[in-house]
Amino acid sequence: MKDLNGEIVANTKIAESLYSISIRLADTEIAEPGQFFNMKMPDKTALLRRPFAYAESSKDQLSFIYQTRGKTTCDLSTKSTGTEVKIIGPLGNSFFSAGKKLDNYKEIYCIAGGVGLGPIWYLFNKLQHPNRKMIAGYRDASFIADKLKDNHDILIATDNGSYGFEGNTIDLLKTLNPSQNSIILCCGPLPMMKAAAEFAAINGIDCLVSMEEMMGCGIGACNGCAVAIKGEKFLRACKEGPIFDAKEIDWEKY
Amino acid sequence: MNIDLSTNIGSLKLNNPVGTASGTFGYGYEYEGLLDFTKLGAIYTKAITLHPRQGNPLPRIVETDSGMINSIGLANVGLEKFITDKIPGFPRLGSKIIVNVAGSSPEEYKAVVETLSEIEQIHGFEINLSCPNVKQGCLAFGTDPRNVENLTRQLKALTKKPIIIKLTPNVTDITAIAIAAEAGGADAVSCINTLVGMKIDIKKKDFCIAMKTGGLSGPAIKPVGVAAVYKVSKAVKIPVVGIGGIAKWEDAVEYLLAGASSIQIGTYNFVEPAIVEEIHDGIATYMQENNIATIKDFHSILD
Ligand SMILES: Cc1cc2nc3c(=O)[nH]c(=O)nc-3n(C[C@H](O)[C@H](O)[C@H](O)COP(=O)(O)OP(=O)(O)OC[C@H]3O[C@@H](n4cnc5c(N)ncnc54)[C@H](O)[C@@H]3O)c2cc1C
Ligand SMILES: Cc1cc2nc3c(=O)[nH]c(=O)nc-3n(C[C@H](O)[C@H](O)[C@H](O)COP(=O)(O)O)c2cc1C
Ligand code: FES
Repeated sequence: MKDLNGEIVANTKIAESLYSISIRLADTEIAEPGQFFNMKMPDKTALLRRPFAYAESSKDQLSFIYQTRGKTTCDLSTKSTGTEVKIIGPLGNSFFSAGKKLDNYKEIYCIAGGVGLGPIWYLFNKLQHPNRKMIAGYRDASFIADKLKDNHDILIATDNGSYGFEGNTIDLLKTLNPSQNSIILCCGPLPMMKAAAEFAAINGIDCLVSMEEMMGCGIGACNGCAVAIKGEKFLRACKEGPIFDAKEIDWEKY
Repeated sequence: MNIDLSTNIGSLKLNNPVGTASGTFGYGYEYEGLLDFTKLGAIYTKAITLHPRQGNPLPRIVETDSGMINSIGLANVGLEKFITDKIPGFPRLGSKIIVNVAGSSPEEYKAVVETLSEIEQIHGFEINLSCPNVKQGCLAFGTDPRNVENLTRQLKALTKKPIIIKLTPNVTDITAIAIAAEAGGADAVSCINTLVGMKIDIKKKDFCIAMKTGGLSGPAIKPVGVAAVYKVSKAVKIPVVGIGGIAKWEDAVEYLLAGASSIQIGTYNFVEPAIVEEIHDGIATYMQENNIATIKDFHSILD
């Protein structure tokens, strides 16, 4: 693991408050879907680095999709190509290394909400599985990137029905009648992951979720990013996670 | 000019004055590949308690202006696992290892120190007295000079390795605690631990940290740390380890000028793991340029 210097080579708005950004790096490890990196932001008024999940990864470049949520992401959206950043990654586990053999399932449902789009997009594109489906959920049509609208393999749900299915991603998933031998791979806002976990539990389906926690170090050193696990236990989102078996999470704590 | 970066804590000689603060550097291994460990005089481990601890409820950390608040709750693997899983690899890191010790009763502190005192890979102890004393109204051990002196004396009797007493700034007079530690036989004191802080999310109308308050650290607390080191180093003869908000070599030099014999980098390890190297090299260059031959010589510059 190294702290690598990077340079923004593209940074474009893809939907309402959603940006796609590419960073050129020297020689880097290739990340698996679900892994993240910890980035020193261009905003010098912020202290801590910020974690983001890979949406693409190659030996000399990575991309991610971010939402302008607060201080440093809003600042990032104003940065032009050539801006320098520093990146430690890839970090954490991935959807491929979280204890489930994806090939063994008959159907795979990749579910994204909000900024979960980046890692789920990467996952969906890397999966070789013949029966893979992707569902993306948004509040309304303005939050949907064009590349999603153009891709007919991807099912879209909007809360107000302004595009695609009216309702949330789990409502849409229900209409697809997933078989017992399915797995749900999910990244998005907490209520969505909770709903996915609940649906999976009721229907006896396996489910992996990507947990988002505030991070200090991002490398397993501070225990700041704890995720609540059943049995009054904690695991680190940055080390044992961020991908967890939904059955392990103590959802009552969220 | 020939400069000597080495510095002493009791009988322990450190190659250089740069250390990494407890709780911000894990057990050291987490940072392998991210910095040159030969520039690191000492690693202070995450607090070790007699039994494993899961830690506090979530969320545990939040960023503040030029700082952060944490309430980790001393989550750690516990003494037994520390011995079997963590200690064997320490020599590979190449830095001196000082174990930060925490507990909720004097017996717990003593058990940890006694058990580790014969282990060669451990070079000293830093006693974290910011923990609540469960038997005495849960006030932090480090707030009562009598308790500090007693506990220090008892721990010293259990080991030949140096004992550093880590001081909490959350007291009226930090020098009184330092003097008590010295009277109890401490080899050094380190200061400061985090300051009590709170952040409220005005949108969610809720506390940002589950425990409501936590420990404030980072650049925001540096002036508090420098002042504490200055006052404490005037009050005691034992070495003082300076901690609090160090983010660049200039900060470390401030601490050395204030009276510190060595320093620890905490929160900034999260931001820039290689900062250890910059600070090490920055101190050396400053000594060259200012004709300061040894770390001790820093202490005769300011009154
Ligand atoms: C493993 C992981 C992967 C992530 N991947 C992505 C991604 O691909 N794209 C993306 O846009 N975001 C991602 N995030 C979230 C991203 O880290 C935060 O949105 C970002 O840190 C916000 O920074 P800011 O300075 O703009 O916000 P701040 O001003 O720091 O905070 C704004 C608000 O966001 C909340 N917040 C900030 N950081 C986090 C966090 N890490 N987790 C939960 N809430 C937070 C704060 O509580 C606050 O309410 C990921 C987080 C994790 C832990
Ligand atoms: C996440 C975190 C965990 C910490 N854990 C411990 C600990 O276990 N024991 C201890 O004595 N101090 C602990 N500290 C305090 C630091 O060692 C240090 O005294 C303090 O953070 C001030 O230095 P800084 O401003 O450079 O971070 C912790 C600090 C942080 C930020
Ligand atoms: S962020 Fe420090 S342990 Fe995960």
